[in-house]
Amino acid sequence: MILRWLLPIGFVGLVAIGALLIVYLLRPQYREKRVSATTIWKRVVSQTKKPRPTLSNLLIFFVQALVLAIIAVGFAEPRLYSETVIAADSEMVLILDSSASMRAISLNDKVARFEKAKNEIKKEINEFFTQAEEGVVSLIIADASPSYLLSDIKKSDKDEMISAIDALECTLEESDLEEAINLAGKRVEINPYAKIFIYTDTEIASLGDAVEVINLSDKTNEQNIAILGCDVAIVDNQYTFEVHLGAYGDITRKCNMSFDIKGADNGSGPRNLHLSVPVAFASSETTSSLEQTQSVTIVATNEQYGGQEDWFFETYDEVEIFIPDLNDSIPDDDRYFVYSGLRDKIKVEYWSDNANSFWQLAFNNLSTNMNKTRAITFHEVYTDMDMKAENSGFEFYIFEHSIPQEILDAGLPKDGVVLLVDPDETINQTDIGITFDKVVSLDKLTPCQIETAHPLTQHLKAERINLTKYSQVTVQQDSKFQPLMLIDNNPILLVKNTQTAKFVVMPFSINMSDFYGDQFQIFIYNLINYFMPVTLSNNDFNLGEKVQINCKGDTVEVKHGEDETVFVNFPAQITFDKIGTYTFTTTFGIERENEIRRAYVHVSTQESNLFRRAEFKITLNNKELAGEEGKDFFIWLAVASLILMVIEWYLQFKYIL
Amino acid sequence: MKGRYFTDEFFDRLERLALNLPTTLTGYYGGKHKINKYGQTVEFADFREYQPGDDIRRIDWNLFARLGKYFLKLYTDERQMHVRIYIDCSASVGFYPEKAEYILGLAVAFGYLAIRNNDKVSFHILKDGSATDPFGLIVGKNAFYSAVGKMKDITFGGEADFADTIPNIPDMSTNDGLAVVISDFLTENKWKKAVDYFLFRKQHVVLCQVLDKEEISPTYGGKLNLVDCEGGGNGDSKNVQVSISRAMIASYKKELASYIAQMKKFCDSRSVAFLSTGTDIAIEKLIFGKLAQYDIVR
Repeated sequence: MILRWLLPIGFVGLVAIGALLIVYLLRPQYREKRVSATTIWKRVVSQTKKPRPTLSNLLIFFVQALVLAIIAVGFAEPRLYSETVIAADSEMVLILDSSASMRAISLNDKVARFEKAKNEIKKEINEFFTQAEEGVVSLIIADASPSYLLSDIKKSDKDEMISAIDALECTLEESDLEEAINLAGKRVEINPYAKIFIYTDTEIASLGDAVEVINLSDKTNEQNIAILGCDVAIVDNQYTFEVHLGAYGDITRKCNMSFDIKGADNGSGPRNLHLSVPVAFASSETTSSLEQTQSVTIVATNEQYGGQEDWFFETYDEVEIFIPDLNDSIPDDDRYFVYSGLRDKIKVEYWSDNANSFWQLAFNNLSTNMNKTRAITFHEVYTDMDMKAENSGFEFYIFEHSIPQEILDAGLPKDGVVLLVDPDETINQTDIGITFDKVVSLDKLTPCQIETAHPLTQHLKAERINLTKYSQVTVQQDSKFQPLMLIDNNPILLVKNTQTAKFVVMPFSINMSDFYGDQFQIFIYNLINYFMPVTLSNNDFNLGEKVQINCKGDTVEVKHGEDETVFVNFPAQITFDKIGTYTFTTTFGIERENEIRRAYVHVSTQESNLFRRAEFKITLNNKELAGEEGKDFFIWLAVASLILMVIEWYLQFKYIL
Repeated sequence: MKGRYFTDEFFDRLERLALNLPTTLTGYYGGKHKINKYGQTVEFADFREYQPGDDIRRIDWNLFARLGKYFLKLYTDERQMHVRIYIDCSASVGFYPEKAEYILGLAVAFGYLAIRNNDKVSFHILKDGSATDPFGLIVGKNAFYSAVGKMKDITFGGEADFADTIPNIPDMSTNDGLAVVISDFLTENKWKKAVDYFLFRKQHVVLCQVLDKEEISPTYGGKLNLVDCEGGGNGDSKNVQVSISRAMIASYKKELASYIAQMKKFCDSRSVAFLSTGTDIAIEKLIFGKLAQYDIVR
């Protein structure tokens, strides 16, 4: 806590104490007065007055002097501050915006905004220390997580500060300017005279007289054309790419957008395709906005852009979109990649000696609903057509009522999830750790109970799942099966999910239950999401974006250039801190090939806008001396003064009256 | 001293008043004070049967003619009163000329009332710790006016010692008149002892306290070393140092009122007439008013 005097001249009032002392020294002594008789006066004095001791005179003088001192202190307007307060005009807080847009270079002198800002800051620091020898300077780097790079630097450390600024490099992230301003605002709360300078390219509405914004954008010499994104969709069985373009600045220009498709395959083998798509931008005089956006749609047939008939393809590996020879202020957003593999292929094999349509219906429904992320294929093994069940090549294997002999002979599949529905004694021929005991018939539809909360039973309502018959099974202790639902304390849904074995056992017949409709659909949905989660929700991300990744296998290896990270616990979170392609490799403990996904991380589309505006609900003012800043204890001084006056009056009264 | 009270106009205003005392008075014959005994005046009082030895000249023959018995006519008796006036001529009285003049005027007024009633008057001057009787026993207006003429030459000084001097005055008799003490009574001396002595001598007592307006309401203030004019100057024990403020003046007035109340209470307990007055109250008003209340004059 620091005490400051807003009006030190008020201490001149202390002279009054000297005056009081002189008054005491010169105050008249007892004058002689002859009277006719002192009888009555003696009686008065004997009753009221004790001879005033010297101490009382001193005490009264002390109290009076104290009152004068308090009044003088009050005139000096003391303020109590919670932290160190720097003297007026001696603190400067600099905020350097290091967002990606600050990398924009001037087409004139080829100097980036960030470098210009650094030069401006160094110049400001030099001027400041010339005027305020005892002042201090702090520097906040406004990146995604603003913080003080240097704090309370004095003139003696100026060179060190300049060196630190020289070493600064602009990030490719977005900046949290609001947080940086709030950070600086705390200094203004402490020191009402601190000045804040923001070096940014964002046009910011007024933040108060404590803040000065130095806008480094140059509308004359800066332009940027950016590929903001690309939406991929399949329309009428044809790939459609919608490329979003943005132009910022006074741009009237025609250029060609290169569109390269690698690994395009229409069933006859992968090949590379190339298109050059003309785009044009024209600034409008009727608008003051320096922002133009447009979308270019490219259909797989691409007749519009001169494509050939065999340009049609069903799959592709990647699409590279870029605008060559652009020569604009931000080259980082001139290139964009779209990777395939967005939809996970999920193949389901269904075998039953008494097939029903529930399974196919449920998977087909989900196939439609999950169309954007998954391609679900349902393969039913028709026994009456002498089809044989396969024990590999599928993500899900469903064996209902029994396990086919060919599977028993070849062994249960090891590359996917095996669902054993209403198994009979054939299950005893496997070594999964579950044996069939007997069939239990119930008198009426009996509801189930959820035994354990599990992703597979998420959103399921057990009271709406009723059975009339189920198979009583025995689960070996070391089998690692987890019972999820019970009926009469007997498990009717069990799951086992280890690195090498993935089983779901449902020892009841769907035909002998009301487990169909919405509850069954939810169960299938949980089944896919639990065993086959989508690794990534998208295939392009902004730099700095935090994304959750899942794994349908055991590990996910994330690789960017030479950097490699392996995730084993899921869901995991990854922060994209580099521009470029990230490769995600999912490994499986079961006999299944690794799955590779790629995602492109690009500069935030917001950063492509060279002349953006921002409004913050922040007001920082350098308040006047009479403002409310600091803790004003004038009222306490007044109370103390009043109390002392009462004491003084009491002392006077005691010894005079 | 100029005697503004020693004028014909002043005496004319007193002409209609007379001192009145109870009937138990003993004194010389020839006065105008009726007593509760039969005497030789011409004012009829009562009858009684003749007894051998009575003066036959006093038999009422008219009654004898009607009743056949001898009755004597009895007449009231009148005595002459001795009015002793004790004047405080100490320095405290002389400190304020107006107060001194007032006290002397009051003494003269009492003296005139007595002389006009054919009473005897004596003035006793109390000062410098002693009592003097400079005019002797005054009987008759000629002697009174002669004394009044000399009274202007009275000086004031020293202290008036009531307790020690009054009992030693030689002309004191018993139950023969009125003792009037005129003073400011602003003294620690034992004036109460003098009052008790008067009562022992069966004197009727009147205490007249005269205070100057400056004594009633002081106009001075500040830090003062108050020097008593009857004291020995600086260093005297009577002196007192005091810081006089308005509050102190109020306390003074309150204390003075208390002092006077104590005096009056003392006097009331002994049937002694007590008057306290300021010099701003006319003597006639004092006599007509307060003395009349005590039935001393009528």
